Amino acid sequence: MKMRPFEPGMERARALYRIPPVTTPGKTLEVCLEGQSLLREADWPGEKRSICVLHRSNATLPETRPSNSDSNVTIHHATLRGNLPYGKNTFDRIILHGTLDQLPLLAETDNPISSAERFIARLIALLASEGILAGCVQNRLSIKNVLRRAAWRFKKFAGMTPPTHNCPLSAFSCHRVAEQAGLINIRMFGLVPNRDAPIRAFQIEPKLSRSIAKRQLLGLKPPLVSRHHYAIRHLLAETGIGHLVDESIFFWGKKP
Amino acid sequence: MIELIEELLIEKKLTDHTEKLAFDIIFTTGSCLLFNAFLDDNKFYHFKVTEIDDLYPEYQLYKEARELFGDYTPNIIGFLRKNGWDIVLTEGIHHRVLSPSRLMKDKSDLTPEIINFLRLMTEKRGAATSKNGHNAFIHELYDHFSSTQFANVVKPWLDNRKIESLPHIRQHGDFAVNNIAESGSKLVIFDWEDFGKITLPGFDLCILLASVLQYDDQEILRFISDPRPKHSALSNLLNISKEVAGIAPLLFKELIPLYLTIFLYLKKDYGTSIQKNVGNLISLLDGLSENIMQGINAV
Repeated sequence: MKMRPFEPGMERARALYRIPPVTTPGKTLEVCLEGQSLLREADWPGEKRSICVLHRSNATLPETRPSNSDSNVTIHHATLRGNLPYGKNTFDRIILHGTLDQLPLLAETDNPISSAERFIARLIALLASEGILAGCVQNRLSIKNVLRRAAWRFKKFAGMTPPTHNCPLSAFSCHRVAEQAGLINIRMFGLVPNRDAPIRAFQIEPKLSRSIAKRQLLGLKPPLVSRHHYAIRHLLAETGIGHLVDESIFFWGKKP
Repeated sequence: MIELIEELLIEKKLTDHTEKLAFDIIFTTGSCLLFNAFLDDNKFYHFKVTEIDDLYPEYQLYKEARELFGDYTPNIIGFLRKNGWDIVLTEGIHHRVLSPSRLMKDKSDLTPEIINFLRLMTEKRGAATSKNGHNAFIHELYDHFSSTQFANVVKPWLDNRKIESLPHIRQHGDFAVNNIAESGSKLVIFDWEDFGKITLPGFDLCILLASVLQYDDQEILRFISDPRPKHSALSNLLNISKEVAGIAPLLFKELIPLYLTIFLYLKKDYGTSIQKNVGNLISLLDGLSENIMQGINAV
């Protein structure tokens, strides 16, 4: 039996980045870490797309080359603090699928939030006017991530290795970072169950009332999410902070 | 594509402040994304969006269903095709999907509403004339399944006079319990994209029964072979099948494996789980159908 178009979770993750208002077909740049590209082997609109793979500062960079499997894809390599090999105002869409979470893995920083902000500001320079920067981050304030961090803090004395994702951003700090970096018309969504196989995206909008948050919940009953997840969401929706439970955040903003 | 959704809302004069919209997005495993755009606490609009399928025929079917069945269907508002995307816009309905357990109660308060709806569908059969008879459709079905185990289910019904003499009644096509909802005191039926593709009477009733019984072969067998049906809402529905669905109860029971095979045919592009579940169910029911029918005939 053949697979349906959005049956693989990764196809749904790609569909996320078709949602923002972008000039069609447009030029797309994906910035990611080695082995984590979302678009490398995907059907994607537009004539050419570029993938920029980020490396540690002291890494020896591989050569720029077209993709083996798709001649419409060019893969570049750069270090986090080195020059990005693109001209200003080049792209209509820049995609950061989980990249901001992993910046601290590439270069030590005392302040991962301001580091993310500086990085976004550099990327905005590559965007054409009215271009869109979109991405996903782990939600620092989600209950799952809070518990994960607490468990690690408790166990690190026993020599446990730290979690691979630092998840420095929450919905609020991600919005602030995007705004201060210069993006406008920012929209934020909580993703269920996560960014790699989304089933539902709820816009995080402070103006949204509790009643809308509760209505959104009606479509999210078990078995779509676990009973515990549903119970916690319901409780938080009642208090008007339901989005805090989402493990991943999807956002986009426009260059003025 | 969100700018197209906002454009459609503005074109239909449903809002002029797109920045105030808040979205809830559902990722199907098919080829569509579904959007709910909330304007305020009491109003929202529903969008089906795809760049793979042609949604215009579906838009027309929804319009036709709305004309025929009024408030039983969502209010279809508009269609937009632009930049490779197809978008269908309907008015959002605050609703609660029916649970199978509610329809299995002895005195389900919803059965009269469902009977009314099925009766209305049967009454509107005037528009449902088919150029080809039922037999032509059964041949098409047989050709489709000819190299599979389901050919054995279809074969006995080829050129069958009982089937050919049945009226043509346009069926909803996916009258499963998850597509039936309560909105206030009214019943609302969703997912009209297969409306009228099947005109064999009793098909919708069969899908309703099978979905209420959660496609469980033992439950379905027990239900159709019980000589003294309990006074459940489902049994009552079955007893008046001639009146509400245009087919006698006995023939309806005989046709259940065929109905399920037709369902599989309609859902050939759908998910693997539904194909597997319904396929297993057909195999089990067909293997036992002779015994069941002997039991039913004895009664």
